[in-house]
Amino acid sequence: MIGIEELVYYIPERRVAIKDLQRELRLTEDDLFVHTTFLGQKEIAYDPDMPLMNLLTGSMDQLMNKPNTGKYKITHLLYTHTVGCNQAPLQPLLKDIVRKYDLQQCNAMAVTQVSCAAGITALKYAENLLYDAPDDEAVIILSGDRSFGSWRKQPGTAITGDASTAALITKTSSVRKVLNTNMEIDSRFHMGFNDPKVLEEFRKDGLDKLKDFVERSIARSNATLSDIKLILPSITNKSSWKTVANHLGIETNRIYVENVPRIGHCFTADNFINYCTAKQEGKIKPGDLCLFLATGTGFFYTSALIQE
Amino acid sequence: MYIQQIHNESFPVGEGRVKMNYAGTEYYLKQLNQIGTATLSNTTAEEKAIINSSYLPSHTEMVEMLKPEGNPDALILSYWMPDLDTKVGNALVTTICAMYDVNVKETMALSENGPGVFFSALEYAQRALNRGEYKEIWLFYLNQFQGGSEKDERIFWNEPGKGVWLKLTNAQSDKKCPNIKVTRCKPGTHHGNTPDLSESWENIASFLNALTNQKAGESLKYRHFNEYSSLVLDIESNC
Repeated sequence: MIGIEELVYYIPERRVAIKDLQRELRLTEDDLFVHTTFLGQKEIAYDPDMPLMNLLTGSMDQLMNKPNTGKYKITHLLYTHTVGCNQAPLQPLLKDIVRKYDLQQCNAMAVTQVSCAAGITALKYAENLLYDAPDDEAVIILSGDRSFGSWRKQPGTAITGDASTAALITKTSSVRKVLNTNMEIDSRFHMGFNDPKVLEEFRKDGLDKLKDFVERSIARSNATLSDIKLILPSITNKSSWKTVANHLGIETNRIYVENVPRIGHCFTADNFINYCTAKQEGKIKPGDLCLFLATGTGFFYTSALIQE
Repeated sequence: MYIQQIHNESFPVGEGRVKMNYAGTEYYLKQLNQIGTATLSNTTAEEKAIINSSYLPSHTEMVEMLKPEGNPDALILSYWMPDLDTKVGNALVTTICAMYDVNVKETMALSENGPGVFFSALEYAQRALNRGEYKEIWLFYLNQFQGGSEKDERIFWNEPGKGVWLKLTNAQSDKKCPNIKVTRCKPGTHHGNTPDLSESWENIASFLNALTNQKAGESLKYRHFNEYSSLVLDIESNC
């Protein structure tokens, strides 16, 4: 069984109020109302002057300075991002990261095409990578996108922000044990939801499918929803997760949405950031079960059951 | 692990069929432009002409031509150049699931690992099969040279593309098939310098051709130098 031995995050200090982005993002008065009331967004972590490399090293610097990190041979660095083309192919930033942190025996690669669920799926990949490995081997999961262009606005869902996370995944971690990971695919929606008819089709049973998925994922470790202290979802918006909580039949405060008004939707880093801030706020105690949960357009349901 | 099936297609430039998707490249360039890693202004008329006169299939078309078949538990897509078929909201990996009506437990799209990303995908497939939860994995390696960039200068290649599909299993079937193994070479135990980019790609393409044509009793070996680090992977296939 793997665990998240170290977990750090980096969020640029700069915050912008949603209302101050109205002109820049071409938000109508109605959009503004929806995002700041129903969806619960208030401020976004957004620093357009910060290069992607700096955003990522903001987390990597912290992780590589942790005493535990130095105890392991890093065999893989999985860089998860939502935005498909976020760098030129012959000047990959992973090459610079490998050099900067002297990860010379590490296979660094990007894992994409799972939309915002890539952080959780990287945990699944790490399970496979470390299964047969010696105890002193480890995988780093680096997550982070810079919000830009058309990616900055997901109308009716979220305004996106900038953040990164870095996690050290080992087999010997005594904290944040990954009890199981799960991924299910509904390829009926492989082309996304640009076609309103497809979206309508998805809405017919999307919530039921998510509920079944959550229950199945938890049951894989012989637990039930009532055993889960906190669900740590994507930092998209409050209203969607409230609807999910109602559908699951749980109190709304068992789905952690505190970061929605603070930083915006930070793509694949969301679940990890939520874990860190919920822990800092005393909402996760030793032994607690938490469920990382994310969906990705394409269409993916993903989860990781974590025990603190 | 075993190679139950391997399909290998080259996609020569200028042989007709479908004209290259210039809109895809343009979309990609605009994305890069927006994040400041490339400038559209450096694209010359000559480069645009190369693109417009070249035939290159999309990744989806490449998959179609590779004719995968079977019942995979997991699907791994590896590619060197950006996948232009995946944009906001869709994913080529699930498009493949829909095309072949397969219900996989896991998809993976691997990139940003140099031309040898195929070997990284192979190493991952080996570890995933060793875990025992999967019996069959589909591994795709798709390369279409539709555009790259180097620092401030835009370059475009019109080299042939290559697509490979492997059906990998953790057990031998009735039919004798190659047993392929990926091992990490211990640091300092290998000699030789990392080949340059184009040499590396040519070597990889040759090895893939040899793998496709491997005969019973034949043994193939390949040493891959990772482009990003000092990591060296040894690949051995015995039929």
